[in-house]
Amino acid sequence: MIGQPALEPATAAPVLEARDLVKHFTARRRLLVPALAPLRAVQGVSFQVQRGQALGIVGESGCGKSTLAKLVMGLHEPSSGTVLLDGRDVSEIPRTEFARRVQFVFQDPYSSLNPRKTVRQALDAPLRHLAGLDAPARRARTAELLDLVGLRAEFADRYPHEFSGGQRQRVGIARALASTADVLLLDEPVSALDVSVQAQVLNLLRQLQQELSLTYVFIAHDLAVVENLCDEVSVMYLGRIVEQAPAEVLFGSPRHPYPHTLLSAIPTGDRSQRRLRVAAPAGVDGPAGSDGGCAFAPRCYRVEERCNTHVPPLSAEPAGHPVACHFADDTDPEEHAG
Amino acid sequence: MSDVRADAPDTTALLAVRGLRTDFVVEDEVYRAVDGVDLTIGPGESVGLVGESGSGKTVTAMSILQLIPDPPGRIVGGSIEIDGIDLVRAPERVLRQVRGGRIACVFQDPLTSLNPVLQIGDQLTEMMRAHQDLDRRAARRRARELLDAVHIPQAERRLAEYPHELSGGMRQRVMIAMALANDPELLIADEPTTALDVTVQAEILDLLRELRERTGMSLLFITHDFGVVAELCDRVVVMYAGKVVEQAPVEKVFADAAHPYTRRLVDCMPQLGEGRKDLEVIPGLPPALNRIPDGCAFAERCDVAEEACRRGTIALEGYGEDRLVRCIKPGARP
Repeated sequence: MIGQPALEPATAAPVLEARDLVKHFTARRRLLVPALAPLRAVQGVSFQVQRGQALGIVGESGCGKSTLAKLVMGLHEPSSGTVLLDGRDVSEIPRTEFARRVQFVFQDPYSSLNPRKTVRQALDAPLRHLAGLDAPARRARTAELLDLVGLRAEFADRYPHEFSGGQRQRVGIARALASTADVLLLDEPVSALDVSVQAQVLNLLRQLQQELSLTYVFIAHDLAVVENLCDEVSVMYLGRIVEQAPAEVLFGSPRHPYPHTLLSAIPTGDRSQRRLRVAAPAGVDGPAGSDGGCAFAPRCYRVEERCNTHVPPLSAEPAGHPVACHFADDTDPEEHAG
Repeated sequence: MSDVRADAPDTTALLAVRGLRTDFVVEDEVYRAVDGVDLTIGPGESVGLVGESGSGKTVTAMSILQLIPDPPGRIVGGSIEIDGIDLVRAPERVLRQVRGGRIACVFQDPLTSLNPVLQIGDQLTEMMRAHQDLDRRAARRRARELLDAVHIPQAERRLAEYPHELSGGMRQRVMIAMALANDPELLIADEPTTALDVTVQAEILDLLRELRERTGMSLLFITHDFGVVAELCDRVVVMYAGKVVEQAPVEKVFADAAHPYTRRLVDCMPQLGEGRKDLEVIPGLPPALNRIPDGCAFAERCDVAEEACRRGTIALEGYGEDRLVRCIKPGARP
């Protein structure tokens, strides 16, 4: 299925796998207030990532991509479904062992780094408790890590506020690597950075992935950034994956109308290029109620009667990769557009 | 301090900024955020102001609106004229009439610009009645028309809602409706779509384009995204370390940037369809604004810089028939 690199044997086991993850949030019952329907943030998401691969998860705000990341990290308890690391259910893996393997890189390193700790102190905890290094080894490893992420050794004794945004993100990456992790979940790691700095951090992530055979789950809303870094891409819409494909397939010829719409909405500078019109009627911007049919139907340019009554399953037939659309056999969605 | 000839004759300009210098003083250090900016906007023209964080684009906009917090900020030189009124020297009474009247603005985060405890309708009518002689009922009617104009469905119902009840895109539409309330001649939009999803951004850009065609207002659009500028603007002004480094028609900036900074900024953006590949990067960081070097501020990071780039003052000069560039080797490639 997804994530199978063409050149490796099909038997290669995924490093990280999600199986049918579901997360419902229920509002606290309040006296005299009618109970709200549960918010179904993630509604049955599965993916696999092979070692050394980067899986991109894209979607707009509220689609559940950050909730999905937190489920994988164990920061939220899934309502149902499992996460597997090297084939083992992570709920049975001790926290420290899990933390040695899987780490998180956040969007804003300024709020995820302790302002009162120098870089050395921030790296010290994972180096001591997760990597199990003694003091001289920690000192050496700190220098190594800083060099790895392109920071000068003397930066070790500086505080977060002394760094620029790009440098802080490098510190965030160094801290994730300090734990010996080989799987990184990156949640919008470059979206707060200026374009020239964003390019530096993307290049760094690509280089580290190659040198250290890291496995990435890369969450972002910027499609060009995802294409630049990822082998495989999953597109989420209101809690469900609507299309999963190798990056070149997804960005070249998406089968589902939603990624197609997203791609056409990107301002390119070419004013002659026709943009797909997507309706965004009021009242479809919440994942609360989307039972009756395809969640994208109210905004879709291809919508037909059955879209409102039947949820299209995520199926690899007939597109050759998983697509959740009744019209996945259609090779040219644009001809039906607007 | 202006070292530039204006690119358009002043008689036709709606807004003319000349030699604007804005400083921030923090702990006795002077940070020159805007350093001699010249900028003209013609009636109906749409100008994109592009640059990275700290380049001075937002401070330029805030200076035009006379909204620089003092202290620590201060306009220390230059003039900002609209119809012969110099906003730098105008009394607060005049500024109040200009702001929200002839010049309106929309900012990145509508939630912090809207009053959370006032209904949308009350905020709109308050805005109108501060500038126009309207009774309550006429203002209310006009408020509904404005929400219709920015394509907010069920306008009547929305008037009675609070900002938190609206989605991000809807809030930005309300901000645009407020900006339009007094028929501005110039709309200053500072990163108005940066916090929005791409499909919502596309809708807001379409809305701005439509409103501009319908009302004939001028637009100063501040962003770091060249793609957005290309969709909406006629002319691009690129800033670096407080100075304008290039000014050109939008299509020329993409095809053939004259200033090395503009060229490299365009090159380091990932483009869809290019697949996995290393991106061009600009090494280093912009200079600290309290230690801007002599000569060209970009020289240290530039791939075509030579000794002469690090000396004296480099002027913004004409390049080709319709461009300005602050570089002694415009158009040079390594």
